[in-house]
Amino acid sequence: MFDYLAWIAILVCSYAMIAISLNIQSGGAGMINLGQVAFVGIGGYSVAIFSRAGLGVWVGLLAGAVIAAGAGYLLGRLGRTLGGVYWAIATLAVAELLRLIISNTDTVTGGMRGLGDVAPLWGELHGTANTLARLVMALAFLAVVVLAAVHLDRSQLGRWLRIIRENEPLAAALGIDVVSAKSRVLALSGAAAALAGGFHASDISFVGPDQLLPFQTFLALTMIVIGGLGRIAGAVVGAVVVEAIYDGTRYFHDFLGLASDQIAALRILLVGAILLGFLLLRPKGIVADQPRRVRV
Amino acid sequence: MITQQVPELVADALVRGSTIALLAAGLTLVYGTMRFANVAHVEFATVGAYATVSLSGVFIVPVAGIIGAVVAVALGAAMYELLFRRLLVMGEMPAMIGSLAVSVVIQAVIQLAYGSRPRVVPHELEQVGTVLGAQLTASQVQLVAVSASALALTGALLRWTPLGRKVRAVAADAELARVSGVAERRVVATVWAIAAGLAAISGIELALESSTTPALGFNLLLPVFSAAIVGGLGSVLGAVIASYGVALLEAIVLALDFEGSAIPVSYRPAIGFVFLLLALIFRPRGLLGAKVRIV
Repeated sequence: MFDYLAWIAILVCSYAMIAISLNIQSGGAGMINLGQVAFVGIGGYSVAIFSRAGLGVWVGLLAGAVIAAGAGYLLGRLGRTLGGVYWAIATLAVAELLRLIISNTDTVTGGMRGLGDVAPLWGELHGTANTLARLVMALAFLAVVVLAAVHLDRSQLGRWLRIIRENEPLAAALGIDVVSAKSRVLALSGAAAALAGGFHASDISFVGPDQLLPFQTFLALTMIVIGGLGRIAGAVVGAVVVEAIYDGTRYFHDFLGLASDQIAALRILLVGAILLGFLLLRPKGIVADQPRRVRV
Repeated sequence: MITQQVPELVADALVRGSTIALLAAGLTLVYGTMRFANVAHVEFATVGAYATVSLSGVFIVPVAGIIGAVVAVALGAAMYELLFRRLLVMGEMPAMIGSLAVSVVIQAVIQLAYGSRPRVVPHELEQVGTVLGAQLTASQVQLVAVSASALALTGALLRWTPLGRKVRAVAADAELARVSGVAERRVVATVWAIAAGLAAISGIELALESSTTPALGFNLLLPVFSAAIVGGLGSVLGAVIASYGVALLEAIVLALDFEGSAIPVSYRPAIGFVFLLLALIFRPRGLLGAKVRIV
């Protein structure tokens, strides 16, 4: 039982990191990113590839964050000021492209089979000590990401992003470099997502293309909408709620008597229905974002 | 250099393009009237396909197909009335996230009811015939023909009927149309019904031609969005032209052969993505998009 709860808690931490990384774009800057999972994948695969090449997991983690930040910055520069729909679809396309390339390059990424035997971040431990170490590590990673997000929220860039979210022409008229601000937030968000991906890959010792399905981004999006767009606490609350529903129901087939693909569908259905319910009945989420004074 | 003959390439592009065009036309039509790109649009194809497959045991295939399309049309109108009309009031972001949620929910419901394995309409093994030098099955010819007639019918409807004039008026300026006495809400609901119907035809024809899985529609999402965006969101003709364009590009790229190392077929969706990304970077308004016309 302890192991099961610890497993859920670690997953919650991983997803909370992804949700926060998505939140600083969508909640903070008002950009819908349907391909956030691409950054997670960059982090995961870089940890896996570096660790299997004998260069060490921590080097891989760092490399993943740097590559994801670079990719995010580039994406922001290329996307310039693409509006809502165009931006959302472009990000989805980029993520799907990455997934397709990863699924088809057997030599480097293991193709559809993925890569196993990823070294753990914490060395070799066993039993309860191992579980505890992983849990502590997960909380430490989450803390780093939360602190970074809080810092961003209070920084000059964070304030600019809020203005951009509320009124982009106004932001431009105030002399804010919109493209630069968006590119920088994408770089930060990419690095945070890559940390989450790298941590997760090392934690479960595996990466595969199925971890890059658009549904993963959808889960993170559900978390931030349920929690409350734009709030860091909201992203964490959302991650707890959605994980409890999504992975807490994993073993329900024992007493429902459905096939495994049907039970998977039922869990997805539950998450989708809850998201729709929140959008319609409580669009501000559990932890609502209040208007704040912004000094320019 | 190119491994396939021209007739083969054109036939391939026609079959694939017809599937995409039906979906892209509806997507762009809805966007035109309410400035909202519905990610769940492709699910109408899946719903139509599954309704047809499950009814094909009860009725003969054409009847099952018509009922399947009607189911999708009803779903489209209901979705607008109950969900998206309300979400759009809140803004573009909730509507976009909501449409993704609807898409996920519909796929999950279908997988729950039918499982994830492919389903087919029971039919006899088809013979491949030769049409103008290209190898095609009868159901592929049917797909192209049905799609072309449905698109032509939609075009005529928009161009020459009072309803079409209202649709174009709402698309040009919703507020102006409303004060001129156009029942905007009913017009938009009708547009949703038409769009859902076109999408359902695409899904049904696809199911008859090969098979259907819960991801039938979702797998077409990016090619369809590429076509609609490249054609200029809101422009039906642009979307149709771009659909065949994307399909032809796919066929040509897949047929390329660089001294023995061809591009694997699994990269097929990537061609649409790259096309879309290039289009977004260089021509974000599309080929025929965003021109004001007098109605």
